[in-house]
Amino acid sequence: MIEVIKHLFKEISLLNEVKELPFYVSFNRNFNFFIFGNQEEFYQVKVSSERPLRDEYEALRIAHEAIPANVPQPVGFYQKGGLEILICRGIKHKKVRSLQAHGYIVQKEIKAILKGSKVFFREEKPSASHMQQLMTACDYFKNRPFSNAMRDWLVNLNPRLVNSLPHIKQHGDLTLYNMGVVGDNLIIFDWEDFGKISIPGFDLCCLAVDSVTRFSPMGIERISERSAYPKEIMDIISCYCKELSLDQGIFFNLYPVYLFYFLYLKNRYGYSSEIIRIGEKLFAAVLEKPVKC
Amino acid sequence: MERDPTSSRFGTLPHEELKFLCDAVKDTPWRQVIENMDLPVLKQKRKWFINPRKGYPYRILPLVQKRLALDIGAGSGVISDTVAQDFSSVIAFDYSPELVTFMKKRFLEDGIKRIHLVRGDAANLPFHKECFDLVIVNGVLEWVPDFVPKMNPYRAQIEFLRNVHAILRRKGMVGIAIENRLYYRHFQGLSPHGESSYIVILPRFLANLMRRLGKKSQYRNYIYSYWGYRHLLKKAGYRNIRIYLVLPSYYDPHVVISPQRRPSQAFFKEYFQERFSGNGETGFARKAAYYLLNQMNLFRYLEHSFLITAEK
Repeated sequence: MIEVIKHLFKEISLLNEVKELPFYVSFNRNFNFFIFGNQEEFYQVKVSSERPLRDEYEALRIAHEAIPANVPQPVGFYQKGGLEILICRGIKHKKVRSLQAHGYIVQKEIKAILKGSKVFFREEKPSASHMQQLMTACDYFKNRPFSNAMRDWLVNLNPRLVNSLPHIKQHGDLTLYNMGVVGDNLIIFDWEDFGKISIPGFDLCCLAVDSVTRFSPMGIERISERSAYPKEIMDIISCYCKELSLDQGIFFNLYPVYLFYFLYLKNRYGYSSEIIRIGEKLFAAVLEKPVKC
Repeated sequence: MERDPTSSRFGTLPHEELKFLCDAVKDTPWRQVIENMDLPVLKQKRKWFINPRKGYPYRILPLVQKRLALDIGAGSGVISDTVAQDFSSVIAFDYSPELVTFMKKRFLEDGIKRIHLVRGDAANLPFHKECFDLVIVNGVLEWVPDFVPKMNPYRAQIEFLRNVHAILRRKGMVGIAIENRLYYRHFQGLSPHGESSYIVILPRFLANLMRRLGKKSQYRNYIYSYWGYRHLLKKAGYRNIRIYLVLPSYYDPHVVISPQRRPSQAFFKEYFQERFSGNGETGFARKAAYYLLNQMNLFRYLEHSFLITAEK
């Protein structure tokens, strides 16, 4: 793999002066290389032989065009030696460990991004209504228990209310783990699920759930406790709901829908069984005890 | 003595458990057996059978050709399975008849035709000269001396590496994953292969003396430091030796760091933040010690395991 990357870097004239490419590689859903130059510059190179990366490249390109300050710059997508390769410019950043640590920057930037997303990422001609998309996701799971629970829950949902929401492409995995801070700027990473969900509020729900539970088995019960949500996240929620002319209560009422979509993404695109298990538990927790507004 | 919980004889399962396993897979799908069988060692080592990450470090190597690979001590077959995605053919080679039977069932069930099975011992490799582009020696080198009990362990390992050298094609590569003798926890009494504490870090003659005093057999499962492996491979005739750092260990590798790269402080901080919070190693002094070691670029030499590659 590394020799394919080396040839590719030569071909596209990246890091020409480096003789042997120094790198780290981490193994998750892809081979995730970090290739370093002599100076501060480095590149993130995702390599896969099984998973198509073209869609991720397109997503990254669209997102970078819309909000260049918040998205890593894609360099290119290549197919070489039976491998799919996606290169983007590396950004030296600080990890966002908690909203308390970087609350102000995250709050300010997320508000701006969510506000902007209404314009940048709006789907003018969606292929299907929200309810139809939800039913398609239910069909994906066939008769799994949580899919049946979702169908039962949907009976009591007003379809007109859901269908009246605009279609806005969501990041798909907006968690603190996928965020970094450079000065006063927030960088959002991992755009591989961008655009796969278009129900507004999905990203915000992911962020809110992450800030309360950290997607850990220990935090599952806290999802329904309103008092557990940090004030920074509540502020973002109220601001976003105002933007969408959506009642805050409705946003929290839609939690089962958001978490069902979360499960759908994680199952469909091959995430770890651990996160799927936690997703199922979170979904069950909000069905049993909805978040009170 | 604190023993590394993931290790057992030859790093696999005890013989009785292997027998149970072989009987069970005769009429039940192998994955189901691995997931459900409740044997004392097996239940701790389920990942050993199914974790494809174990084979990932071999997929990143800069190989010129990818025609034929050999996995010595293939064990559960998980590495052969992973590497077979890149190679035209892979030979999975193991000493244990039970494991060979298990792999046969595994690959048959999974419909993998590119992997061929050969049974034999590592000290007598039954292959023609110059036929492999990659030879994988994952957690095997330290066990090689057990196959030639009359030979000095160091000499047995050199001899084995020379034999591997002979079956490699020109510009072929050997990939060795193994523990680091100077792993900091060995100084705290952790034993990598079930020896008494500190045996692994003592000079060899002292280690043997201690074993003799305890009326035990000679210490034979030699592992080495960063420099020791370099010396061993040079002596066996290899060139372009590269020693990659594998984190947290080669049993379940998450990150591989190339020889030219010192872990950045940011990476280091993130990696250890997770690690410290995971196992309760939260002491400020320890964190500071790590930080300093990394600043001095010594961290590479004191971690758990290496991935060593060398060319013919």
